[in-house]
Amino acid sequence: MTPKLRHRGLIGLGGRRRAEPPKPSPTATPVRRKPSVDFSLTGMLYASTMMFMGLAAVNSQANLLFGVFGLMLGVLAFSFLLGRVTLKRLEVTRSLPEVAIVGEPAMIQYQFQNKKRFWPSVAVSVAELEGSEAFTHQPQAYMLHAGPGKTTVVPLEVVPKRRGLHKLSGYQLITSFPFGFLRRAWTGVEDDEILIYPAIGKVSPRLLAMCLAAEQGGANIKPRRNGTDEFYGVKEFREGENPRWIYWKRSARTGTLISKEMFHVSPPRLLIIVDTYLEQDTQQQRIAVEKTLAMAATMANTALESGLAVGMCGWADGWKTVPEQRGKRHCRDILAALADLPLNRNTPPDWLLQRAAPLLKDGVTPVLFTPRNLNQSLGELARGGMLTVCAESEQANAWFKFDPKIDFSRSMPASQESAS
Amino acid sequence: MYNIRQFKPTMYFLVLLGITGFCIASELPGLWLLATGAILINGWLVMTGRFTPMPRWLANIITLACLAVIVLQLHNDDTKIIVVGQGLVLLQIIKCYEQRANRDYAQLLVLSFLLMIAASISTASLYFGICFVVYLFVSLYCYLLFHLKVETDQISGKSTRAAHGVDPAIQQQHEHLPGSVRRVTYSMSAFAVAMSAAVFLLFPREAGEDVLAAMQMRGPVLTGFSDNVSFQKVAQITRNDDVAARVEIYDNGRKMTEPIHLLLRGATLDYYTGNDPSEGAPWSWRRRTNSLTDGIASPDRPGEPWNLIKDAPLADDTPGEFRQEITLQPTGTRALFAIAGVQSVTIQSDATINYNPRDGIISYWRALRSPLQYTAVSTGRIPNVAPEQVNAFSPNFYSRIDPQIKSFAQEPDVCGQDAQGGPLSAYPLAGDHSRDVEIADHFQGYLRSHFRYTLDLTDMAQIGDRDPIVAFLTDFRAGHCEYFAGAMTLMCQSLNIPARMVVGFSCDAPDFNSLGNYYIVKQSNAHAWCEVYADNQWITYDPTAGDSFGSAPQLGVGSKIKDFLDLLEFKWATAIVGYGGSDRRNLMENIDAQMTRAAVNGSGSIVQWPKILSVHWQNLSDWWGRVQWTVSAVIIGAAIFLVLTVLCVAVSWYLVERWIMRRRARRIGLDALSASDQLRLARQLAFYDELLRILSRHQIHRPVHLTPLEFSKSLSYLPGEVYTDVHRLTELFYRVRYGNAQLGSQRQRWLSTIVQRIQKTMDDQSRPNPVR
Repeated sequence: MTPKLRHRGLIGLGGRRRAEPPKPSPTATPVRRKPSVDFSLTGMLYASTMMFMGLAAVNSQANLLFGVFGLMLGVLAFSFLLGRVTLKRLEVTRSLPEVAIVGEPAMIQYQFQNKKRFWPSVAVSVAELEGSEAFTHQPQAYMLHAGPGKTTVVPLEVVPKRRGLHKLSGYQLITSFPFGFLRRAWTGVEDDEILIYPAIGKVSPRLLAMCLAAEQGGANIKPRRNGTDEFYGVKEFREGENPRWIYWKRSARTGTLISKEMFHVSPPRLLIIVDTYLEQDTQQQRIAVEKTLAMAATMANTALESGLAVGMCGWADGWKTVPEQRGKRHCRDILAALADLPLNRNTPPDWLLQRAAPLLKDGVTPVLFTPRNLNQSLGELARGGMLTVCAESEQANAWFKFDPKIDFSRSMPASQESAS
Repeated sequence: MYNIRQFKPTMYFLVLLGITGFCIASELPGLWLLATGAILINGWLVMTGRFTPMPRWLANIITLACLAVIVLQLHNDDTKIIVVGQGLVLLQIIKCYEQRANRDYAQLLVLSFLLMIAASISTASLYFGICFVVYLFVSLYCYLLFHLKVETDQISGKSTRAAHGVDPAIQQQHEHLPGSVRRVTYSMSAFAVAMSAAVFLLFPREAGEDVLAAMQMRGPVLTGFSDNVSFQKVAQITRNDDVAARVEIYDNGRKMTEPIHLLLRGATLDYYTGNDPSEGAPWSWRRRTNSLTDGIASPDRPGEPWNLIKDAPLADDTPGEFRQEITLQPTGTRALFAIAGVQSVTIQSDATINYNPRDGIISYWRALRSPLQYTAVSTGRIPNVAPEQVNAFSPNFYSRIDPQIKSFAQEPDVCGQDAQGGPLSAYPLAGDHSRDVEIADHFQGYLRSHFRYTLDLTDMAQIGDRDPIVAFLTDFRAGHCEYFAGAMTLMCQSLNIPARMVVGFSCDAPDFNSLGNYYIVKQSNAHAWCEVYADNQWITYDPTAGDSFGSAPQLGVGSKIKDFLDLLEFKWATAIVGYGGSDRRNLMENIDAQMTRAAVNGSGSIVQWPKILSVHWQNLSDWWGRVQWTVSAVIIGAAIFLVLTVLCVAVSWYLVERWIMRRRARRIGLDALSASDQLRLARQLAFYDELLRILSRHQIHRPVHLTPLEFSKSLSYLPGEVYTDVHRLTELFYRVRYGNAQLGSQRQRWLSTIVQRIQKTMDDQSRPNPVR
């Protein structure tokens, strides 16, 4: 569970002072930061009307108009006060999902706890200020009502845009209650993190089958003894063994107790080698790298769901290797490793293959995901037992299907984008 | 219920309330019927789902057409604000039939608010004020709902999970929303009202009129009163019961609670134009010199009494003087009304008042277009003027008197006869004015007895070019007060007796509000009478026949209710509508004086505190010195007594308690134990003792040969729950008796409740069943 976030209440107008943010890139998610106190258009119209009423009252000396003017003034003053009261003693707790996937909606829950004893908090929005870059839009949740002493949970659906580990830091509580004349905002700062996996699409079953066929040396299946999957042979029954496996027919014939011997079917193992080397730092190449990572993640996810053991090897400011294993936890580890893989600008891909070589044991099928188009045929791609997937090739695009809404040009971590 | 759905019904109610308020202010019941019907039909269509919005282009065309009509009307109509208000009503109706989205609702709310503002400019009615206050509160609630609706609609529009236009997460947050919205509305209303009251009371007031004031609906010119009386219009004069003024009268400082016949003088008219074209309108009364422009102007001292008569006492509580607190509605004239013999006038505003000493008339510096409050002190007697002054300005030389009037006046039956049988009219014609009073009395009596009062003057259309007074005297012998007063005036003038006609108001008992003890002066109370100069004084004569102009006194609940409603209007007019700069100055001065007084007293008190404390301490010390021995003896004695009493009680209690415990121990069977154990166990096993006693009351005794456990098992014939409880209590008894278990006070209380439950069950069971 991600650490809880707490709104410290009245930090002060404008919140904590921060350095001027850098100029946003064209692909950046627009973030709107509201001033602490701001008049809306409705408020300006209302204030104008109120001043007109005051003038009319003074000029006409009509006592009812004085009363109306006073009433309008009171409403404006009360709006100013109520906005402040609404945000006071309102604790916001953010619940992030453990992981999210690029392009797939994720749910963030905001828990508004109103600690006031008498006043409700009505019509309050919370908007993320820092960390919004991880999503396609600035996360903004709206709470209609939290009674005094009550807690309201507001779910917010967001669509992650960039992979990697993202920190959500600053946020803003905004309200224009009761009439929308004045908009008040409080800024809070609290650190939180969310890990976003690369986009996961659908992979063609044919490619998976190819991975299995591409295993070098010997049969695909490597049996293990003492399993229960398939019949292996017979042996003499020993004390302590499971009597279920006694082969009665044979035992009757031989006169001694004979038991069947079964074995586990050992599925194939995959080693995903991810090449993130950038020959030239261009937009197209970066897109290719992102596609490479997405394909690798898709492959790993599908293979692990199918029960295969999957490992990974790649460059992440140092060699990053993950031994082949199965299971959901291992899947998360693989995807987390892929999510955080940086662009490789220094280490040539040959070294990657050299690094991966020791990991290629018997029964391990290597699958290389590379952004460069090697212009090889299918057979060549599978030559030597290593399957190569070129992200920009038509074949790869045929094998892997992603949501068309995913924009790979914006899916790399913002820090890598700005560094490039 | 989805609370924000209350917005639409609230909005419709608000619109209707606004239209109602405007129609009250502008007195347009037809418009109210039309607009309310259209709005209600629209509301019904919306509620039943049959509503289809009008196309925008059609709505725009209708709106432009309406605006064009309104602009044309503005050029022709004086009451511009009323025309604008009517336009706003029409725009609201169009908007109701065009409504589609939130912006239409916003426009509707703004139009409604502007309509109420227009109405508040144009009227000061109490009923409108009540409607306005209700409108403001409802509008706050409506605007609150509207804002929430706009925001939730925006959020739901962006949400991918919205169903039927509503985000489910938002819909779930409505649990306590109605209560919260109401709480906010009440708090905001209270705050806004407090601010409104503060601004109303403390905002500086400046005198002056401007364009907005000119847009006010002018007070209708009193149809019963005019400073120019003309007989040209011979149509029937409609009675008008609109309130012209409210008058409180104080006699010798005490407010009058019993009605008197009240005559309020407004203006004097002393010469008749006859058919002379050089005088302007024929057959009309004029003032030879305009009493409303000449005279003395008041000094610029608002709020201070202006002494009109030199060396006259300013005190308004002098016996024989009447102080009148008058609230005058807009009349469209400059005349101010007061009882005859005005000695001083006090007005709260910076305006100027004129006073004419010749006829004692007071007037405002300009035509009255807003309510005015002033105080006048009168003697009730027309001020005396020297005969030479009267003769110098005698209007007799200027009135165009028809010879027939003179002939009529000279008739012996009319003017009276002397001892010799000759007409009294000969005396003044001969220069002898000693019989003028008698002549005037005769004139008054003759007119009263031989003429008839009526307001219907349609027959007068037949007089053609004849003098209306002549026609009145010779042909019709019926008319309203102006004819009577005019006839008597001309008859006197024809005999060289100085006379003038006075127009003003006349009030009697039916016009007196017994709840507030003030006179309600209506327009129908307008009256004309005559003043004749005789015996070196002006004497008032009222020749109008009967009291047909007064309404019959009303008795009963209806009149009380009417008086109460008028009292509310009166208080509203004086406290709210009439609140002005002087009231504000008084309030500020009072606040300042109170604060100063409090500060002075407080500072004085602070300084005095040590002295006060020392004085009190000294007193206490002296008192103690006097009573020290006595008090000490009493205290010590009481203490000793108390201690002895407590000791006795404690000892007694101890002995009694021990005795009770021993008895209990015997009953339970603890005799064989030592005294201390007996006492200890007796206290612990009180529950078992009580149980045995309950069973004994129901003739269930433990045989001596049975142990308690065996005895509990033998009670299987008891009800199941009782048997179980008895058995468990017996087991507990064993644990305490033999197992050295200790029961705390809480446990013992719990056990006592179980025992009581057993008792109740057994009592219920033993109660005989009612015979059916």
